[in-house]
Amino acid sequence: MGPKALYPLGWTFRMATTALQQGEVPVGCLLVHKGEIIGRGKNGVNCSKNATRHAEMLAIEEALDWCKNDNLDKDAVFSETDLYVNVEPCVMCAGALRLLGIRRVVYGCQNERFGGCGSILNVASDQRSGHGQPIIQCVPGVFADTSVQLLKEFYKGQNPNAPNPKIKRFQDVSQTSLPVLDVSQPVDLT
Amino acid sequence: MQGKNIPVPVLNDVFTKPISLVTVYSAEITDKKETSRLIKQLGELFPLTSLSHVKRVKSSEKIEGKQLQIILCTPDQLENDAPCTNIDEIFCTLPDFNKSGLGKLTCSKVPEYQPKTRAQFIEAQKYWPTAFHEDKELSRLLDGTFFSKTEVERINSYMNTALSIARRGGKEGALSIGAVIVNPDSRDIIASCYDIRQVSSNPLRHAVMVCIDLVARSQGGGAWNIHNTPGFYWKSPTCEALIKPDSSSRETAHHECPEAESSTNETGNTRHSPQKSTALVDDADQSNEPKNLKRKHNDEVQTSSYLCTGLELYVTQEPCVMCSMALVHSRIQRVFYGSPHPDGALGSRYNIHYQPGLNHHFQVFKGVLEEECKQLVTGVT
Repeated sequence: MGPKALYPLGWTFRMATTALQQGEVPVGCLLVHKGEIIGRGKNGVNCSKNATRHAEMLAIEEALDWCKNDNLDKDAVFSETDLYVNVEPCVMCAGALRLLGIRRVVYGCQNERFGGCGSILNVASDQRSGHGQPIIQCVPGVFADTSVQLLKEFYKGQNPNAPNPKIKRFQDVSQTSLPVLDVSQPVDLT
Repeated sequence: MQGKNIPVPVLNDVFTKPISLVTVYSAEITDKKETSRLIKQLGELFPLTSLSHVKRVKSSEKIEGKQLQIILCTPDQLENDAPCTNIDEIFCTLPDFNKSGLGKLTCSKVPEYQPKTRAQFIEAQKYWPTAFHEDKELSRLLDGTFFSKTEVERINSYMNTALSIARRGGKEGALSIGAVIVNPDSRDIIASCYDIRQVSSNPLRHAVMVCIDLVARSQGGGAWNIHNTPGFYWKSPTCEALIKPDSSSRETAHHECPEAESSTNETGNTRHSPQKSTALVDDADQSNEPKNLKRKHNDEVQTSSYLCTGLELYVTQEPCVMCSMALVHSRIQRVFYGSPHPDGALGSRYNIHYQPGLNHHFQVFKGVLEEECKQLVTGVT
């Protein structure tokens, strides 16, 4: 994958930061189909009191709505869709992505506690969890350091409502590795 | 002991697998007066750190009386490349060691791990004596006496509720899979629903995922607009469960009792049941709140339920890997399911409920009203 293909991952950091500011675990996720963003999600566990409201699940729901509105076959769409997320999807999300037959998952750091793309189990590409679907191509460890830093913000237990000083670092990342991504512009995530 | 319709525990295979054995160097004690000296000196020279559960000396009955055998060492405690064939090779680097009382060198098989169950303990003793601390709860799980007759009846009645909501789903054109989440202390049904993966535009709305969201709704949360689905039930949010008590949300909440519910639940929407104090855990994950947010909640409400902590799930079919991990995230206490599924993750494909590395484990029982649950899937009902 070329650097331009990683463009959406930079955006997931911004979405994750928004989640953090709202008192959620900083995870952001994008689903990209033929260059178009068809699903967005950021972690919403605490606001919904539902522990399954991970960024990936929300992004999947938006993409399913997109398929429905455009009257497209979801199986065909997901087989050509890539998911970008700043942390390795957990076992649940990997199971969900496998059920949907998604093509590829690009992610930042490993999820040592819950990871479903190899850290705890490899649901993403394990023949056991096939459900008749092909294995998911995983691209791990993209901007892993930035991703780890963001998670540390949460686990340190700092005030999630405080202005986040780490945004500057994303600009650095974009300047060195993602020249096409202008994160100095606000991103509408609503 | 495991009779018909007694819930079958889905246990970690360390409790059910046969014992494994390793080889050690041993020798017969020809002069029993030397026994305690040999135990002491060998214990210092070759401590059995990796086999601390194994007794140093084995006593076996012979026609001419008791015969004692002592473990000298494990092969990896010696620097020799080739296996030893006589006792002098064992002690070649220890010329001062007093070998009196030791007979011919033998190789013995001893249990590699400490037995966890009585069956494993009995098997282990055939080879070499070991320590064993019986886990009474585990023994009752294994011999089918874990649940009393009354408890089995209660379990079956909740599964019957799951069965009837599954049949309701079938009538509505959905998949006939039913799920019920129960508070075992108050005996309240918190939520019950069927699988809507085929009748909604979201193929991930499996019965378990839907039920978890209805529990969230009963706590003043919830993400999906599914509460008007025919036959679905969830317990109305109580004042304690809401961050800001809001009577209007209680009035507008629409819900319906499933047919199989007992009359005690008909008033469930207005009754304030005792809530367990919030079981907040220190480790942080995607389902945890930052510390200051927790405090904010606690200031406003003294007690509230937290996700599915302390709750039981009854589901007609074994959950898939997505649903099983959703139950880990939700901190479910116990799961009962009817029929296994080839893609299930609580015993079939995976064992998510005791997966090493995960921060929450829970008990799983299968085979509850299994025949009825199987008939749902094949549509024979």
